[in-house]
Amino acid sequence: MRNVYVHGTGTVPVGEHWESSLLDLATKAALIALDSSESFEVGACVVGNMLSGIINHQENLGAIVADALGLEQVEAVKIEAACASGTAALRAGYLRVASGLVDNVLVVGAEKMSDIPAPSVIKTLSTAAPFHAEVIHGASFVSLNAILTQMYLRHYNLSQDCLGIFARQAHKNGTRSPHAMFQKEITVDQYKSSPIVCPPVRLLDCPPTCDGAAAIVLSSNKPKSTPIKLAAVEGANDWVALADRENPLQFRAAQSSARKAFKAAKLTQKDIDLFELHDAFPVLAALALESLEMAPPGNAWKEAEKGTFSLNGKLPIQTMGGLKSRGHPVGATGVYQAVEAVLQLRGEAGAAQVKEPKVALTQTFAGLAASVYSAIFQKEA
Amino acid sequence: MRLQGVQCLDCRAKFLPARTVCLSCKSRSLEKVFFNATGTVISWTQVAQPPSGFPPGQSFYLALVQLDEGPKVLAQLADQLESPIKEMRVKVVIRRLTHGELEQPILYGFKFQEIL
Repeated sequence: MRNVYVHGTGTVPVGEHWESSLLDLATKAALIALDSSESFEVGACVVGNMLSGIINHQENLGAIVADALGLEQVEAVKIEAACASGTAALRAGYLRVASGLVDNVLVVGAEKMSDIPAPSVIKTLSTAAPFHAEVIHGASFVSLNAILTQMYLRHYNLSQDCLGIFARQAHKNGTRSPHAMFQKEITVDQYKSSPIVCPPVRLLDCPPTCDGAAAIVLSSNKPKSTPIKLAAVEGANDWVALADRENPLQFRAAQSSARKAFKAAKLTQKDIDLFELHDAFPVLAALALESLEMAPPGNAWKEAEKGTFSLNGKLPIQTMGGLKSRGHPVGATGVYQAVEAVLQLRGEAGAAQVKEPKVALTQTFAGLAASVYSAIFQKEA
Repeated sequence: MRLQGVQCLDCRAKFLPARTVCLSCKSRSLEKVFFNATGTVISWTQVAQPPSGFPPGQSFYLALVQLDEGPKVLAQLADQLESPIKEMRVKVVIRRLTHGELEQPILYGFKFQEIL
């Protein structure tokens, strides 16, 4: 297995891009990444996306994006793992380079959710949930996260709004992040007075429907300046239906994929300087942290209130806004997390910069952590 | 009223909906069984804006229920006017699930109703 290095990266700001198509966004991010790489030559174009078929009437995204970039004779494929598609695409790129079979791979994450009305988007996202066990009963990811949040709050005897710190911290960090969709803080009062969507989940707990694209070039060639290694990217699954989980408050796939990643990277949790976690809903951020024992069970919110996870805390999370404030263009999210990790390690995160990080962990969930990918980026000396 | 699921012949684990491989012991020997369709509410939420395909404007409660005879099941609560209470006792009833969109068949299935 060879080392895999990061070359160019590229993003478009997350938002509602009425003037651009899905392909426009993907192309833009990809060109920034390719133009900032040592070479434009790649052997594969791997595109992470979830909803292009249902929303944008376009499949075959690997070939479609390669075509837009004028890439010839390259492998071209779309990778789909619901909201984890971006990191699953990163894994697909990583495998090609680490194995020795392809020297340079372009990984693009792209999603354009605003091409259909928001209520319809919620329905398309439900394709990640099991149809017969959940969807035909009227479940969607908002209601499923609400059921999970209620279980969590009851189990640990917590008041309704204490997980709100994760939404507020995301927004606080988003104000320093140029590509974040929301660059506005949420106050405690604003949070507590935001309408309940599905009890106990509030409007300000929910990630936005949005558009975005991020790209990263992976290579077996060690770059001349600030080499950042993609030290590992590993995946694990859990039973998809909430009802099939013996303990719904335990995210086995999050634990397992992270453990595999640490093992592959020959690192431990103590080595992590920042964690881009999957904060689609506050309960998921809490469970992501507790699954890796970064906070005692039921206490992630308390640690967050203390500042443990803030930009200058012991373990920064949501450093460039997280899913809540940077945004969650589902299939693209994993690649945004990767690019943010790389910017942090390179010292290029501007106002959002964490102090001298050397190792970053990113983690992305499909649905309720049914398929989880964890990636570790490491700055080489 | 009973709900049909499967039970593993090797480790006795129960599943609903039916499946091919046992999640506990990975056996393929799963036989159809009927569960007594009574249970207890573990968690729930209220859906005020039903997804498209469900009767528009009709808010419903969605609950995770522990069946007395085995697996957990997710389903709507029928005829539930007030907020459910944790550990509320419920029984299965047959109901129409979806509204019937263009080109889609109307789906019938089950919901849970409070045992009074």
